[in-house]
Amino acid sequence: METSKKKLNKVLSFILIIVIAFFSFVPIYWTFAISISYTADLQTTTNRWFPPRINFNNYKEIFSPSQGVYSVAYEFQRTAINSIIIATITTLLVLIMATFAAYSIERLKVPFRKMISYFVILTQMLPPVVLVIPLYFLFNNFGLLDKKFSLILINAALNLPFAIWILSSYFRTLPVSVEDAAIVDGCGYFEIIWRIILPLSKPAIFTSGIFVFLATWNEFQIALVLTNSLKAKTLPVAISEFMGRFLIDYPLMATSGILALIPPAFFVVIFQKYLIAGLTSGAVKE
Amino acid sequence: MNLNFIGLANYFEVLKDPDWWKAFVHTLYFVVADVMVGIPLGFLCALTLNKKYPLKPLIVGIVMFPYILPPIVNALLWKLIYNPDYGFLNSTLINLGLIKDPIYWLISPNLALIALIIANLWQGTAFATIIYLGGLQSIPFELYEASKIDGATKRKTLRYITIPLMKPYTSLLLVMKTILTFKIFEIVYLLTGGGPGGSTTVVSYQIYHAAFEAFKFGKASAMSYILLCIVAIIVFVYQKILGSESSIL
Repeated sequence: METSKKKLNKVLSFILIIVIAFFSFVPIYWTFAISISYTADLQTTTNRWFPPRINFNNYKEIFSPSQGVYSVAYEFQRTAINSIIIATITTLLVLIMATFAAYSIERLKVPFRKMISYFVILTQMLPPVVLVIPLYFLFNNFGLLDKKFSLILINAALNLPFAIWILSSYFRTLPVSVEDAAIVDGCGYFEIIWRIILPLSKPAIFTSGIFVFLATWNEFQIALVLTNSLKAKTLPVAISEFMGRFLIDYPLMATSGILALIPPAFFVVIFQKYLIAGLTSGAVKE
Repeated sequence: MNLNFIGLANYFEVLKDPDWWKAFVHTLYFVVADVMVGIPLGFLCALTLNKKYPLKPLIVGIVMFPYILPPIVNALLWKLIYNPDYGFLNSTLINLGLIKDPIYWLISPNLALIALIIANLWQGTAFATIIYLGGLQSIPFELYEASKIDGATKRKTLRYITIPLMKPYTSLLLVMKTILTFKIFEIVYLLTGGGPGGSTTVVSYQIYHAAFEAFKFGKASAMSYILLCIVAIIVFVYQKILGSESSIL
């Protein structure tokens, strides 16, 4: 009696788990299904869950090199490369700056360091739309509109606080005694960071790196306002334009969305544990 | 650009503008839905997922997807789901025999706002689930063992151990979700453009529209500043109520 009840509970909770996974996945599945459908099939057969004919032409088209300058494929490729460059450089920049900043906040007796870290987090609260107008005028004055460099600068500034936050809460858990011994042995701060802190903090550096990369990859609003040509336009901006321009070509639109999902999906699959730990570490006091 | 200072005229104009307040109320709907539904739902999902079962890493990965995907892709997914002619929602409802004619989700003023709130909630719930999953994993196993030995029922364990220990995470979610949801933009920009008839405008969209589509930079800047003050006040109030439990500030 008792065991059969337990078994039933187990089955029920597994069904529940499947339901949760289902709801998380259906919109993504549906988009994928559309991306491999023929437009004609979308309009004729309404009541179906699976495409009647499978068609990978959209994926081929988006990756094909021999396309005109105004083609979707060209715009997709250019903006995807822009996005990769911007996200990668931003991530490296933020990691370097955040390591030094977090170490200083945690280990050096910098005056007002508590207040500094408060202000750092305050910027995280700003809705991006609040920043967009002053940034637009500022960058316009300096001739920095429509440049990858400006997007790197802004994304780095926006993500630095979170990276410092994660790293400093991790540094706090590292034993100070090792560093003290190193100082006695004549190590400078740079050497301590390079030889002791960095090797010990790999998980935290991974976590903050992933978060910065994802946030930059996903950023839309600022890139929308500050870019207007393929020189600096990012993938999200291109996708939003596809949606406006190609109202008919749903499959192509869905394909670009699915492809934009690949880097985030990659990080989720490989670094799932880091991601969950990163979101909660430092956020909650022990 | 020439600047003519006109004092606080822009601020008065914004504060007297019924459209501004309408957008503000819409934004509040998004926030309230995310807090009142997203947080409890996320907690339940995390409780369900925090067990031993086959394919756990895969399923947790799938559940993280909505949180991690670019907001613009989220908007795109829901545009395809709400599509009246061949969207997932209408196809399913017709298949189940619940409706006969397709429903125009994003074109009817009454439905559009709800449709957008649900699309936003999908991402918001995933976020709460992940935070709570991290939290639940941090609870020492011995605590559950001890309560089992003391003969506590499952419900009592949940009430006296799990929920109190999750309080810091709940406070964190309250603050984060309020801040994050106040930023909502992509879904509105791409799915409805604030329409039909202004029924789905939110603050971020209104500021963007005023500045970069109507080119009223002064008014838009005033809106930005007012929004900033409102968010700061809300966070301050949270901090007063929740005390030091959430160390976000």
